[in-house]
Amino acid sequence: MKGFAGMFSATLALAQMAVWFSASSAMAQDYTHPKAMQLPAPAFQRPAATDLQLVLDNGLVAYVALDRRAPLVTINAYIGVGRGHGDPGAAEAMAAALRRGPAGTTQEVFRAALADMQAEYTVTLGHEETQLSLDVLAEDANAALELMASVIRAPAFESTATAPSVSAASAGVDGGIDYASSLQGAIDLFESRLFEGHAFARRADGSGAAAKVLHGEMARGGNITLAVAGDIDPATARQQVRALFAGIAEGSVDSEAVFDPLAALASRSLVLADVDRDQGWVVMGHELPVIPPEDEAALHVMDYILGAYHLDSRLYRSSRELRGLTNDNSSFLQPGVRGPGSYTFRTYGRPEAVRLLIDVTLRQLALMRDTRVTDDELLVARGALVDGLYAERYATGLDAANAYAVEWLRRGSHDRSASYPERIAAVTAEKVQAAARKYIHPERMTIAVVGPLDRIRSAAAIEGEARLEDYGRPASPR
Amino acid sequence: MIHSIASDEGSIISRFLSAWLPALLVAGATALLVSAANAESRYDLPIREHVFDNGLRLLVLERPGDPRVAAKIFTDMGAIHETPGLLGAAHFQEHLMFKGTPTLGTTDWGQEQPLRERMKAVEAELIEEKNRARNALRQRGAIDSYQHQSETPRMAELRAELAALEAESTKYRLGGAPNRWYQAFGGTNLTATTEQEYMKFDINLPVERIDLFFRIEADRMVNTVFREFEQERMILVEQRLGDLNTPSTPYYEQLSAVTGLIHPVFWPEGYMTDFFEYTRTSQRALYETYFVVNNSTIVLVGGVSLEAMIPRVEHYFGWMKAAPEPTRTPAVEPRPSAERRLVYRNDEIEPRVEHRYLIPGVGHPDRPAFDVLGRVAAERLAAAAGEEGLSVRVNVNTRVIHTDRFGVPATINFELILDNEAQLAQAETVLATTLDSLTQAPTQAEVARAQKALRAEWYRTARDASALAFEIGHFQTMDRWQTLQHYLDARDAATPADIARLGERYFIDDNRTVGMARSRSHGTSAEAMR
Repeated sequence: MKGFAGMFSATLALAQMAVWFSASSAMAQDYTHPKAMQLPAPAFQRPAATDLQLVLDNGLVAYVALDRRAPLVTINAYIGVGRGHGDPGAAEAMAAALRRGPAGTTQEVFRAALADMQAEYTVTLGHEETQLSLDVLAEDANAALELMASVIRAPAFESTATAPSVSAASAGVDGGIDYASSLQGAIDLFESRLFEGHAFARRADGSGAAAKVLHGEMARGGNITLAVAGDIDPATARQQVRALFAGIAEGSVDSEAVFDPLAALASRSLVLADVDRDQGWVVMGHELPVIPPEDEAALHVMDYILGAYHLDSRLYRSSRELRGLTNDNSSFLQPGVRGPGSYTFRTYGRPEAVRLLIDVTLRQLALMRDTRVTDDELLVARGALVDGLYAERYATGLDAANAYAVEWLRRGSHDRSASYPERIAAVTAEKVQAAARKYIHPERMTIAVVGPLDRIRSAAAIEGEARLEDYGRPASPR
Repeated sequence: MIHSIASDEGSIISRFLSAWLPALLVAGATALLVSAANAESRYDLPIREHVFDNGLRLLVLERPGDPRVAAKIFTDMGAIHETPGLLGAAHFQEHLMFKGTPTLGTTDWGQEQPLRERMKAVEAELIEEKNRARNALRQRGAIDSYQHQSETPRMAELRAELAALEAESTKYRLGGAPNRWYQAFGGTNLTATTEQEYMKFDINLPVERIDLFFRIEADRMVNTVFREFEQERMILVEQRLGDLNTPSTPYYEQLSAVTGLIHPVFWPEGYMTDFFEYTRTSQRALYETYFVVNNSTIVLVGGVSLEAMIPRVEHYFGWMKAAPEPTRTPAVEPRPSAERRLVYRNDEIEPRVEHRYLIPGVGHPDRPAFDVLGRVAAERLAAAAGEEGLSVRVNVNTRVIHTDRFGVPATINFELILDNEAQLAQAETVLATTLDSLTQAPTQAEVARAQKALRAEWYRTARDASALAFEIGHFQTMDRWQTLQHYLDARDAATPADIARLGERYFIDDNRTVGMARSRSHGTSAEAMR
């Protein structure tokens, strides 16, 4: 009896504690600071690439992943051929052929086939690569794989020159650039200047014959990777990939071949386009060399802190939160793989804010080069890059297959991505500053401004910003 | 009291039937059909619900093994709760709610708080002064009064004092919070959206760190400090300018205004004059009325379970008390009784003609089949335009401002965008004839193709955890989350006869609004105007 009573008493006490605990937790808000919440480390590990990888005899490397989130299948092909390859315009003509579908099939038949499958099909041409993407219902996966294989093997070339390859949104206006539409006009203006005379410049005069030659040289198994993911049986899908893509010519291309670097400007350059709008758009930046692996992590951390298109960057806070000048001010780090890329800073705002936006951006770039980042900034950037962006890159079967396929095409291994979390963790404030000094060059930027130039010029200075033209002079402000 | 429901309504119906089978034997055929239809659904939506004592709703769609979770908190509040002259206030509220709280976003709340109190007092005096000066400030002109900016000297003084206080408060601002803490712990897709019927905040997190979402959102719901008020006002101006840089924006806004007589769902996101009317006081009223726990729904899609989430949500939100049920818009769009026609003259946009019809909101049994009808119509319009030799782009949608679906009556829009303005009248004839043809049942093949397209579109949405979480929350704010699966099933079940019936019922002259955009230089002949 005593024992029972004691047990009862202990049970009651425990119950009371439970009531107290639940009551206390329910009566007041938990204000624990996020840094003090002791949030657990994510347990997620990316899938092993070898579990997904399939290597065909012709050299093509595929990644096949099960992804049961929806009854869909996605087939992405990455070919190591881009605007920089071949005769001028040949890559644009090749991309146009890939968009038209397989040889021997009319446009109408190809479009009807896509429509019957309710497929989404895109071809994206970059400087060094071309991506084909086909997304279909799982019930149409077999037909889609066949279609993708036949398009890559033999696209529908045309004998005539292709249409301009600029985006549809900016086609047909003043040399292919619609300055009035949006920030894209300023991006196009900037890139037309940056890549002027380089193999990466846009061209629209490629012939079908040149495209065919380029395709024959570059669309070879050793220069193609494939990501197949969705609601599939992976074993069956691997068999199908082997059977359907074996017909692609074998061979590889010289992976050591590099593109010419861009000549760095000696000083600032201002390029202007006048449009009658109520905002002005600014793209400022410069060329970016190929990034060696040892610089990559610090550069990513530096860029994240500075402006990498999120809601807590220095550019965002200084331009938007603190001053209300713009809806966005962000950086875009776009390195090449074997050739030059670009590092740009993009913003826009009402005419009276445009010069101040340029000025504030330049001030932030200088600050990044001249001072050390804080511990909190490092903490945020490291967490965001590894637990956020990196983890998300491998979070689903489709994500992982894509990430691996792109990396294999570019690097021929997965070592670089495997070491990424450790490399990010090792980044220090000193390394961030060194990256800023090495890769940010305000003194030789091209600054493209699109907008109502007279209103931008005549606006009263708000914080002592300079006249518009002064930002393009050798001894320019900031 | 705890209320937990699974979306497996087939099993609910089964339980219901076993308890009441004798009484239902007579009418059982219908119920059994419903059950069978649900069992055969193509859409796997095992959404589970828990409603807390204080009214907070938690919806979880578990994806076991998913390393991340898409987390959203919806507030049943949006632009339809705004007042004329203060349009865009709901959107502005969303901006203000990114500005932190006394525990996130300040270096010294003890120093900052008195400044905030002083701002409140100064603004109260400013509002009083403005109300007193109503005759001086009243709009008089008809064409240029949008530029009306006059104010009294005292108002200018008070505004200057407010600006000075705001500037002083920036000494204590710890910018970036709360966003940076989401990012530091692996948060992605950090954003927020406000439309006519909802506001939501979004984040994707590693599943192990979902507590961070509850910590930040509970704080945001109750303790938001309206920092950087003037800066955010100007950012709204920037966003509005961004919209207006697309030359077609005013056309579509005018067309919406003509389509709806009184319902605020048709109002734009604010005119320039509206942005300068927001006050801390008016925003505080919105905040305190609508951002209450019983007006909120948390949606989680990913590698978390309902059972594990209930105590975590209870911990962060359980202490909150249910508030009075927020005021809903009393607006009821009157029955349409006349065709309306808008001609918009502008040299910067391509010529276009559009027919709009009011259709029911989500929750009405007719609504799902309109998605099928829209797809069928788009194909027919493209074919008919081609046969007529018209060079057009076909655009069929159910959009009003930025949103595609509503829980209130809105519109289905059929638009032809032309290369050649001289073909406008011919294009309108094609529109009218094609839509009229829908009153005759389309073929089964047309309907099946449309249904396949809708399925593919849905699966692409469902594949993305964040997009799926949005749909669940959106349906909850439009109607009920349970409606989502019924909606998808009903689209699949739509027949050619259903499409014909919708055409007959809704595509009537009195329910039509015609929009036409043409250049200023082109004459308006009777033929072109029909």
